[in-house]
Amino acid sequence: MSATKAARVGEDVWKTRIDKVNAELVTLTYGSIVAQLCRDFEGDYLEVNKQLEKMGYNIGLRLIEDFLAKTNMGKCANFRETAETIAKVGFKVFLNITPTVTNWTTDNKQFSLIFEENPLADFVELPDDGRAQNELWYSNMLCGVLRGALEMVQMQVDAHFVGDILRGNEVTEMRVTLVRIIDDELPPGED
Amino acid sequence: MVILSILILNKAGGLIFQRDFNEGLKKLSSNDYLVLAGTFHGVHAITSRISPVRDSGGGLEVLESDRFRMQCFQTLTGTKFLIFAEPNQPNIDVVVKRVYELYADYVMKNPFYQIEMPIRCEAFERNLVAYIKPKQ
Amino acid sequence: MTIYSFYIFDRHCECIYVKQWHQRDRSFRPTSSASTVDSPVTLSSDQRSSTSSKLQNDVHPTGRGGRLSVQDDAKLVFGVVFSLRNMVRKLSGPDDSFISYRTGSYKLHYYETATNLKFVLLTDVKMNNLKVVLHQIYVNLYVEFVTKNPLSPIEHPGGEGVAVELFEMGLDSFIVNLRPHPPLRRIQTNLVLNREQYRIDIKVS
Repeated sequence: MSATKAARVGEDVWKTRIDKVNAELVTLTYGSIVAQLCRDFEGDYLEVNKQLEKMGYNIGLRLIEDFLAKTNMGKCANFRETAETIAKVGFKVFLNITPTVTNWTTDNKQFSLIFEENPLADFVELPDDGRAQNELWYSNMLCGVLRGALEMVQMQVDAHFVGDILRGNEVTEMRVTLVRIIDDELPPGED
Repeated sequence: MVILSILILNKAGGLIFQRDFNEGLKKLSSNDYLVLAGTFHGVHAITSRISPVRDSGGGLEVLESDRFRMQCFQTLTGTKFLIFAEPNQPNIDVVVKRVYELYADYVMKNPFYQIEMPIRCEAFERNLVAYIKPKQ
Repeated sequence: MTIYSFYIFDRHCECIYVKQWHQRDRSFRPTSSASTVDSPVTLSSDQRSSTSSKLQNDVHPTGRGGRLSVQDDAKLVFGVVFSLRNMVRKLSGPDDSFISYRTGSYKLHYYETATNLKFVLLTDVKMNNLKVVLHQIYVNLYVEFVTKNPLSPIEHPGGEGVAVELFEMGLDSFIVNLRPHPPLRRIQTNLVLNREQYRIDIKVS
C-alpha cells in the first residue's frame, strides 16, 4: 500500500480503536525497567541492551497479533511496503509517532527509521559514568519488538540503533535489515 | 458460463486429462499437474474420513477460494472430474453432468482408448471445447 | 445449523486448540446429541498437565467402529487443510486463499492470519461462509484473551496448547449465539463485561 494510504489507516485506527493510557505512566514504567536492569547488571550496559532486546522480542511476538487484529491488514507485498506499514501504521497505533523511512540500500533490504520524537525517552538523561553514553541504547526494546513481530510474519530481520539523541548524536536512528524470508514450516516428516 | 479449467483423475489418482479454457489459473508444468492430482486424490480420501457425522457420504465436493470455485464429481467407478470455475458461477452441476456424458460417449465408447490411461481422444476434446467455449 | 468442531493450528504445524460439539458417535462422550455445548477437549501431550491425563483416560486410539482419537483427527484435519491451501496457492498464486470446502455431510471453513495461525471450523452443509466468524474469533477472542495474556505461551513446543478459561467461555457463548443468528452486538457486551471484571482500563484524557 502507498505511504498515504498507510498513514490514513494508522490515523484512523489510532482515533477509533485504541484504548488510551497516560503517557507519563508509559515513560515512567519503561524508565524504571531500564534503571532496574542497569542496577541488576551493575553497569554492564551491553548486557542491559541484550536484555531490553529480549524483552522487546517477547513483546513483539504478541504485539503483532494485536496489530493485525486491530488494523485488519493482510501480508505486505515486499519489504518496502513492510517498512511503510511499520512506520506509518505500527508506530502510530502503539506510540502515536510516525518515524521516517530513509536510507534504503539498492537491494531494498535495509532501511533506516528516523525518530523525531521518542515518548519512551522523555525527560531522560543517561548516567554520567562515562560508559552509558557510549554503550547503552536506551530504547533498545523497540528493536526487539520489531524483530519479534516480523519473525511472526515470516521475516527474519536484524534491528539495531545507530544513533540516539540521548547519547549526543544528531538523530535517533534505527537500522533495520532483512536477513531472510522464513519459509513455511512443513509438518514433521514431510519434505 | 466461464469455466477456467477441467481436470480428470483416474481411479488411482493419476491425471488423465487437463485443459485450460479461460484465464484465471496459473499455468503449471505437466509434472506440477500430476503432483497436484495425486495430492488431491489423497486429500479427497481423507475428507470423508474426518467427517464428524458418522454416515459420511463421500469426500470433498466443492472447494471455494477467493478467486475460483472447484467442483469435484466422483463417479461410482472412482473417476474424479474437477471443474474449476469463477467464484460466482451458477449451474456448475449442469456442466459437470454434460462433461460426464461427453466422457462416457467419446472416451469410454472409443474402443482404442485404454482405460485409466491419459485421454488422447480428439473427438472428446473437440466436443468439450464446443460445449464450454462455444464461440471459439 | 450445527457446529461440529473447531481447531486452531499454529505456524509450527501443531494443533494448539480443539473443541468438539455434537459428537453423537464418540464412545467416551457422556452427553446426548441434544446438548449444545460440551466440556472442551484441549489437546495436550504434556504428561504433567491434568487435562492431558483426562484426555488419555477418555480417548481410545481407535474407539468404537474405527473412530479416530481427537489427536489423530486433528492431524488429519491439519493435513487436509495444509494440502488444500498449498494447492490453491499453486493454482492461482500466493495471494489467493482457500476459504472453505463442502462434502456430502459437512462443511469446513478456514481462515489463516498473516502470522500463519490457522482457524478451522467444521459445520453442517447448510452454513454459509463463516470466514467472517473465524476472523471475529481471532480478533475478539484469541488476540484479546490469549495473545494479551502474558501467562499463556505463544510458542507451544511441548504441544501444550491454549488453556485460557476466558477464551473458552467467550468461544462457547460466541458459537452458541451463532445458531439462531442473534445480533453480534450481544456477544460484544459479554466480552466487555468479562474484561471489566478482569482488567483495569486506565483512561485519562
